Amino acid sequence: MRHEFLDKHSERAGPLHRLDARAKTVAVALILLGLNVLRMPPAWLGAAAAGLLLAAVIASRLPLGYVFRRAAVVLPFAVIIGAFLPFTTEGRAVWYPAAFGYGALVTAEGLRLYATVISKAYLSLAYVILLLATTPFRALLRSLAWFRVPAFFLSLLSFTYRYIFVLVDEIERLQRAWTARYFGRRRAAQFRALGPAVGALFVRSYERAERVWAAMLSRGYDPNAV
Amino acid sequence: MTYAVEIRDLTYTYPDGTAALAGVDLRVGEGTTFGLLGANGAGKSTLLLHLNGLLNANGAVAIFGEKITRGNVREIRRRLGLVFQDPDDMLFMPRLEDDVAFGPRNLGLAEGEVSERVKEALAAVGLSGQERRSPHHMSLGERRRASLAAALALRPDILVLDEPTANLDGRGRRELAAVLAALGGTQVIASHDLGFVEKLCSEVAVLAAGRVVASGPAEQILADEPLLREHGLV
Repeated sequence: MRHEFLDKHSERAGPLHRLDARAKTVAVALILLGLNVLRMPPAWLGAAAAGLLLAAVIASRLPLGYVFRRAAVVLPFAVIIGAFLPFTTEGRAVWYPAAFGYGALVTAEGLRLYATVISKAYLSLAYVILLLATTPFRALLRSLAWFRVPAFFLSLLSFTYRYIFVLVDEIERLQRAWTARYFGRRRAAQFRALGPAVGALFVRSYERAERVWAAMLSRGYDPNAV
Repeated sequence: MTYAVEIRDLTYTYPDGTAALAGVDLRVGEGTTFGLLGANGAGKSTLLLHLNGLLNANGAVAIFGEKITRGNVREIRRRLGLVFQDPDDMLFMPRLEDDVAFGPRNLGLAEGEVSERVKEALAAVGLSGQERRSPHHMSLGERRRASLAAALALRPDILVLDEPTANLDGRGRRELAAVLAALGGTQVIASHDLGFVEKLCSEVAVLAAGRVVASGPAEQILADEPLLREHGLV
């Protein structure tokens, strides 16, 4: 069984680890706000945010790859969602790609905005990963409770944290069973088998949720009390 | 005489039309350790879900002489502690103590009383001092005892266990048997682990295809090899 999937490294003894979880929560919330409140933050602000992040990661003795590689999961989303920005932002035209008689105008301002959106998304996630990597999850939940985050959201987070491990275990089991039987077949055939595997995972999670709910009711949980 | 559990002609059909229970009659006396034997798919788990009103029994189930209704179902869930087969269904908190405290907190008890119950329940299953551990770091045997503690923290009058020895190794099985024997009281153990049932239960019923096909003193039923063979238990 795998552990510390989300808050790996959070039990180390770096300077940020020792800090009160509430202070860290507020600091990260302010940084995220500062990064994202402006449509086009000046370049020096972005550079400062990146520098601060790098310094914090190094001071906490976190593996660099852990924070920066993990934050990269947001890139495909940011790249796809922002893909229209270079075409739809008004400004100085730099490129006019055309195909099949249709053309579109790419502006310098649009490209800058696109790059800004991607960096904002990347830096924001990297800061959240830094928070998770320096704060045990339960300490984070306690600090959110201190800030009066509704109990409903906290139990939602707590469930997500708990069952992500069970889910990862189930994925690993499916994967092992799959590799054990699919040897020497072509990639296309393997992808065809992926559909049923994902389906099986969905059904298992759904049934798990039903059993957890039944177990909660068995111990006097009152759905109307929250 | 009132029984701890009394079931009369309980039927249940799954939404897809499969008949899971086809007229179950069962009585469990107070203080009895009762073994509910049945092969996989015999209807054991479905039957257990009726005992605390998770599935509606339409008046076919009475706990201590009281039929389960909308009005008393929460009280019945407190008095009847159900331990699920998969501990991961019951343990979802970051710390063991929070999982065990989940039930008492739902009762609205004061924190002092809650921590007293946590301590008591963990001691009963031999997990004292493990309060701060994370359940998903524990072995299956420990997690199964932890889920038992989670049910015990409600101080139930009846303990109901679904396949308590499933996937346990020899030591886990032995430790669990010792814990259950020490607890005493009214217990219903659904299992197809004959050795475990023989060690703990004084009375036994055999469930097959949604019906009780035999019931009586444990030594009598467990000695009836043709019966056990017919219903897939040996």
